Amino acid sequence: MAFLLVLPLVYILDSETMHTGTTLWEYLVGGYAILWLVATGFTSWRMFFRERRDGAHEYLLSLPAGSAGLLAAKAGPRLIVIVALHLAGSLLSPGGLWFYDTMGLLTFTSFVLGCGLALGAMRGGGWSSRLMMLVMGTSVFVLAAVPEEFFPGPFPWGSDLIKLLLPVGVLVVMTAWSFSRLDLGPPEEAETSFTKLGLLPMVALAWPAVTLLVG
Amino acid sequence: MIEINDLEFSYGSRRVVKNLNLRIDAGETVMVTGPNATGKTTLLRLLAGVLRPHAGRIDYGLPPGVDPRSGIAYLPETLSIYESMSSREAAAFHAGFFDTAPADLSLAISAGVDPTTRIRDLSVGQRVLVHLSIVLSTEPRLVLIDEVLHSVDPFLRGLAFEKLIEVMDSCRPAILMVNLNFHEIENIVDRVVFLGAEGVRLDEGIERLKAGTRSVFMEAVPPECPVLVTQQLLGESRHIVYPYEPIPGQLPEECVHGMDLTEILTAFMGDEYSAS
Repeated sequence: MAFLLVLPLVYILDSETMHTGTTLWEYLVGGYAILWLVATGFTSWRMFFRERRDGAHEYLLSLPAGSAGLLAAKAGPRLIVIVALHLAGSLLSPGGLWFYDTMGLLTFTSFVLGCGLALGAMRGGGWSSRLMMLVMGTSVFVLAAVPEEFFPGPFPWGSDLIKLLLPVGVLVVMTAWSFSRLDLGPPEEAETSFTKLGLLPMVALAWPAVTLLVG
Repeated sequence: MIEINDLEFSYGSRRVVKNLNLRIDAGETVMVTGPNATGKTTLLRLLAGVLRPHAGRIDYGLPPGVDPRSGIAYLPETLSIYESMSSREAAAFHAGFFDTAPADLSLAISAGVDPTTRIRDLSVGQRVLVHLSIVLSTEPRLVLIDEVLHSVDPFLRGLAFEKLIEVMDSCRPAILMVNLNFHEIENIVDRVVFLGAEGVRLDEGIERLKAGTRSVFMEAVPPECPVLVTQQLLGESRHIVYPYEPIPGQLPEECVHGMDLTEILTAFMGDEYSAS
């Protein structure tokens, strides 16, 4: 709703005072990309919201349900929402919103999903989650504000096959890893596991994603 | 039969469960107690499958491939059943994981619970009874109850114990209860496991523990007497002796007194705190 209200206002402000020549349609496309990004992070962050609100984390973990079942029950509907939002954006802007590189899109989606899961599991309270927020914020800022000439060119890793498989693999591994290591433990344990195991690779993932998207 | 071997668990750098070995037989009721921060709740969470051990193993005596949680009834300290559900919805949700009929909520109804009311709108005592009714409805092999019954009024607590005894009679599960209020459950517990800073400090049957602990009022006891702790009581020295073995002539009979379970375990706690 805020998206629908704010964008026309920004457009009017632009056309009346700054005269950049940006059309309302371009504003809608750019704004939708940000909406999609926020929705992706927020959806994954909310994955265990009900357990947190109801204090049911411990109960859920004590039930005889395997990780795969919980993954399907929790992540499935959310991934459908994210994909549906992306497809809707593709209709709005053929070619894929502000992401013109499929690998960059998938890698960045993995990163945002992983961050959302980790932050949701840890309630955003620990030093590692604050650092993660900082990295996420910096990545989005760099994507939005830093000129292309500051980036070292296209992503330098190998063939088209790797370009195709790597982000998909990263997404699958990160989601499975997040569930087994972070979300399937009580919050205090998730913070410990995340600090030990998760922070470095997730921070490392941010840079190639940004390079791909901008470069 | 459940066997715990060399179990270890840490929260970050803080090692909470250290080299813990324990065996619990079917039909046995064990009280787990000890000072704060000695891993009592963590032990229950490890047994319930909520936490994964960092070392050691828990053998539930089940065939490979069987999820041990399918035979566990767990009542955590935090009463973590979904609060936004009604009791009836929560019972149906729980039964779906165990392939059983939804819990009979008559116990909770007798405590004034409307099964259609959201759990978050119930009193703490009512929530305990709802939670207990639901988790005990699955014919468990292992019942784990954290220290939650103390927040319930004596009448409802009596109902909760009745329910527990009913399940003990019908399924003969192994029961582990974390407890710091010893008097109340003394009659239904077979064994006490006392966790101290260095792991299991005491693992003893209730009757043997009572028979083997004495309070001795003397200025000084012979050095061969194993004194657990010495207290000053109304100007007198009181020595808690464990394990006590009557040796004729060693201690004057009129100075030696038996102790109830609360006094014994309080003495163990005092010793733990003085050692730390």
